[in-house]
Amino acid sequence: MKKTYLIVLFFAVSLVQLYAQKTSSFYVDIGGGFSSFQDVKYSNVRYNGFGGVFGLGYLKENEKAIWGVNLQGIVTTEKAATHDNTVSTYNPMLQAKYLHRIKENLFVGATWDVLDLYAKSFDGLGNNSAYNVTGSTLWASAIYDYKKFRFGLDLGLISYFKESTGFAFSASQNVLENGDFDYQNDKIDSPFAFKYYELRTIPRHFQVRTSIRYQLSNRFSVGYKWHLRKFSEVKKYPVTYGTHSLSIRYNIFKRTK
Amino acid sequence: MKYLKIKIYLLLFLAVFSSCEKALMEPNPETDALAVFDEYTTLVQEKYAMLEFKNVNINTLRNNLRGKINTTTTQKEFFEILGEVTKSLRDGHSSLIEDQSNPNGMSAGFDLEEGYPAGIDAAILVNNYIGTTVNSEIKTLAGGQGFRAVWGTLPQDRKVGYLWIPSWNVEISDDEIERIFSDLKDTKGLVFDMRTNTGGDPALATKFASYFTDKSIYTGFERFKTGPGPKDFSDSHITLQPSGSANKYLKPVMILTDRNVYSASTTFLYSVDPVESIKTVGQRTGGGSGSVADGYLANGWYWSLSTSEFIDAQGKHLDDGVEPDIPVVLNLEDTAKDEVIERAILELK
Repeated sequence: MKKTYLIVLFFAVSLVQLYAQKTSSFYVDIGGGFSSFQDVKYSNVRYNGFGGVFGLGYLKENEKAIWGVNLQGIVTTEKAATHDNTVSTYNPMLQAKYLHRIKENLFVGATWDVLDLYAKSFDGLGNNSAYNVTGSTLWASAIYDYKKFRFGLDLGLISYFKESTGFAFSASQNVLENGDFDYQNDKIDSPFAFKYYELRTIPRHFQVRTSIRYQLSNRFSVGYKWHLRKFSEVKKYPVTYGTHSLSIRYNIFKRTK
Repeated sequence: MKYLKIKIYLLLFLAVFSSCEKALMEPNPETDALAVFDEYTTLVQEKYAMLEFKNVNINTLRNNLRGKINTTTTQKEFFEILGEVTKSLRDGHSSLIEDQSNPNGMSAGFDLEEGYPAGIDAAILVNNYIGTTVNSEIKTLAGGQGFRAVWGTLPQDRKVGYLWIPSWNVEISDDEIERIFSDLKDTKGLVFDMRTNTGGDPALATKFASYFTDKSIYTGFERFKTGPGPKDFSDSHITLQPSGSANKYLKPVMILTDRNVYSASTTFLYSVDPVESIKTVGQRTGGGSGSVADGYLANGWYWSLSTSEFIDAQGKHLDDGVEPDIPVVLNLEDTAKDEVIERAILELK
């Protein structure tokens, strides 16, 4: 009994120490974004355009770690670089992160994009009007603080995802290669049909994300984020897309002990 | 001063990273005529699924046509040259359109009806069979371009059911499908009019097909292009699963066909082809057995191509259409009857 008590006490003390609160904040982000896209399976023409960014999150930081959850959405309208056709892009994302402090101003850990839904709608197209990449990614993450700046770097390690369009048709490449195509199979079109998800690692599936945030005041900060993704489910026919965003963050509440 | 520094830091950061993804992208393609010609012929070579079946040698075609393009070639002339590639495929799913928003713009494709007589006359159909003045028992689902579905019995024989789906490019709910088949279940046979139905949603066509069987049926396979090489294909073997509905229709069915029976209608036809109680009456169908991909060329012209084809359980290629079991040609001069419907009724007696 005494042993059990000591173990419970040990964990309780550890947890209290781990979460010895320094700062916690609940915030909203709002700003603008710029995105680019190229799918070589269908064309080398790049699409670029501007749009809006919205985010909502909770962040907790103490002497030992930073952890938080973040929900963000980016909506842009991209135009083809060589003609006038456009595509609307929607990218909602739910993230969770935990980074351990290894120096006073340096944290390393992981970010998990629990759900990353990247969806495009091409104006004027038929079967190829909808394109989406749905999935989840585990990232190696680092944060470095310098004065009022906070720099972030994420490197995508593993992605578990489904691309909606294959080499020559609007169905996942593995659906077509495995001979699974069937109009009575509703799962083929579902973004959440895990049967057709692929697990990919770097370098075949390359993802990187950087960020820089400047603390303007206790309530306000301004941040820039960049996200790049490049992968190819058909060899030599890569999909590349990137998003830049610049946003203002307002801490709805921020408590420091 | 403080904010100036911040701005400089941010601008530096933006400058470093804002072009990074572009460094990893392929360069934008050229938009001159030769570059667009090469882009389109490469798309056809790599993506089109039936070059062999259609007997198209894309390399020969490319070599013959490329030399016709020079600095004096006008846009119209260039479109016509590129359109020759499209037309060589003899495929209603494969098209080239200059500007989709401009109905007067240039386009190239395959005319399904060329060389075939008309398969249906709407006035004859309405005035003698399904118009409310001659048939009070007809029911309709409004929507689409007029009606999504028309069904009931025929005044010529009240034991014969009639169902017309003018297009698969509509939404018909599961409840609505149940209602249609529930209304038809007491008839002794069904005339399923598929004329004018150029396609739409193959999943909807397959759902209708699933009402005409009570057991699984192997129907053939869809052969998809899965890579750029000439042998990069993969076959998806298809077995039609029955609807399981209490309103399934297992009595004799006559499907009326014409050249506009195309695409998703071909999906319906090959799905029910093995069912012995189902026969086709009318004209050769249009075909269009494959699935379609589409996109834009570097100059903004729209393209679509068949990137698969369906080969039925007997090994028949269906893309050029199939002859009906009972060939009948409509006589447009006799406005009192539709010979195709009359023959179908006769077969069901």
